[in-house]
Amino acid sequence: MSQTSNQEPGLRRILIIDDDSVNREIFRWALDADFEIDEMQNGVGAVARIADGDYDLVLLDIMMPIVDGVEVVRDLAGADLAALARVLVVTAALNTRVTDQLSNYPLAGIAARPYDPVEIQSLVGQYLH
Amino acid sequence: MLRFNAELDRLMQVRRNGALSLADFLQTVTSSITRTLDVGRASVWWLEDEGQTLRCASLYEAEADGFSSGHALKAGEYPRYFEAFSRARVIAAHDAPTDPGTREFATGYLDTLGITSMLDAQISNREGLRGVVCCEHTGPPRRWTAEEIAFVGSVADDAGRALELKERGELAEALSQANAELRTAVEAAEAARAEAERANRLQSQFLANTSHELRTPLNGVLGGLAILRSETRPEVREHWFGLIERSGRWLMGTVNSILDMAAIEDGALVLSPSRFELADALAGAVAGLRPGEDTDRIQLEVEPDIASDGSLYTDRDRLERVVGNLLDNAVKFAPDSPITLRASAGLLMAGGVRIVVEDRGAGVPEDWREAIFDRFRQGDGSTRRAHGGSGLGLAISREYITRMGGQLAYAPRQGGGSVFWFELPRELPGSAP
Repeated sequence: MSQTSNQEPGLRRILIIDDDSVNREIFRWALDADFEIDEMQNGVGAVARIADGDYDLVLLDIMMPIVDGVEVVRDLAGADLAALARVLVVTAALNTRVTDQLSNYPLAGIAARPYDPVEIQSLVGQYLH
Repeated sequence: MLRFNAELDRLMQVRRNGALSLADFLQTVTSSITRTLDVGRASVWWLEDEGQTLRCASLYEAEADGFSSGHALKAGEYPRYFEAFSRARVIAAHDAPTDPGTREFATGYLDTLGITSMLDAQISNREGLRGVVCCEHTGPPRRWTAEEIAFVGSVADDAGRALELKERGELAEALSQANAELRTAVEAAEAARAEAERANRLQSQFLANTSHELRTPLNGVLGGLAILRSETRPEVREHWFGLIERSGRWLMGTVNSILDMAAIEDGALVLSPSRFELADALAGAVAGLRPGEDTDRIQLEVEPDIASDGSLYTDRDRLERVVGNLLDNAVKFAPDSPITLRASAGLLMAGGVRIVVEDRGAGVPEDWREAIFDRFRQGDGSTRRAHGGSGLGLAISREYITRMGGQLAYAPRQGGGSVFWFELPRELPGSAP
């Protein structure tokens, strides 16, 4: 379910939580050179992973089976509120139904999910200088 | 005098008692008048047509001892009489054929009936002038006494109150009926509003889910192309060509399902049958799954009877999409566990085939088991995709299978997990292979 790559010391670490494997691959292709990437394919166990994982940034999809992104945010707020500041919600379906549900949480941000690797690098760059 | 008062008291009691209808009360009134005043005829008339018509509500004729009603007097024909009774509370005409108020009746009425004197009193209540009480005397002309005039005036007042009470009762009833109708209408409107809101919410949710389902593979196509622009390693390029193609195919399947759902609503769906081997179609469904899905854990089991003769004549593309939808759900909702895709001879459908997709996930909660087949519906309203896809996958799958002459349903798996199964006839009904 998860993969770990580029175990070089000092690299900043990103966790990608997205049920679509092609999307995860695109993100990995775009970010692999500069970051250490972990992946999860849905929200099951994500809260513990984020709270314990010491990630510099978590890219969290919203529409996922079993445990969705909103539930991850809500549960993480209960477990480790400070960790939300490292969670960037990235979704293909950005609408007010989603933003309304998330507006009260101190997230790093909410963004429409880019597909172009250059845009992905630029988006992540905004949060990891 | 005492006699008059006693009779008035009696009439008031009868009226207040409320047991009589207005028509019955007026009969009591008219017969009472003939007795009390010793006149031949007594009647009560109501004004209608905005004061242009007097209609008889009750006429009592002492000699015949009979009641009648319904006759009408038009203001246009008897203008003086209408003028007279609307101005004066009482017309006391001791010589009716010559009295200015009543002489219009002289020829053809008073002479015919032998009426000599008339005593008419206007009926008015809070609503204004409502009608007239009319006493007609036959025999030698008679001078009406002050007591008689007062008596008729009081009887007229009583008739006015009786009318008012009846109208008030009718008004109250009309109001209460209008209230009830209003309440029903409000409830119906509220139900319609709730239903529209629910439909609206489901539709917005459907749109959000659909756009997500379209965008995800489109992202794969466009992201893959962007990667190919700068990627130089041949094996990585080859990998992305494959992903782009599979994303495109998956996208095509989703678009086709949406178009088919629209065609189904228009009654315009046309199936395209062809002859093929079931095992090939099942392999095609696995190969055509959403790119990146770990198809390794899908175990394809084809029972020997089907393996030796799995020839079908039906819509292969749509059959593959049904199997693909069921597998896609299993892959998404039962991660990290084996999934079985099994083909056998039909159990319910003799000569047919049975396809089962079995996973070891959490299964479908009992109260969602029918709702998951509703168009737009995704179990709960959260962003968690309770049965994956656009909220269309299971609905369209059931439509396809039904149209192919089969049936599709869900059953919980013994020991946990979901079983989605369908059975199909080998030949598409109504087709000539």
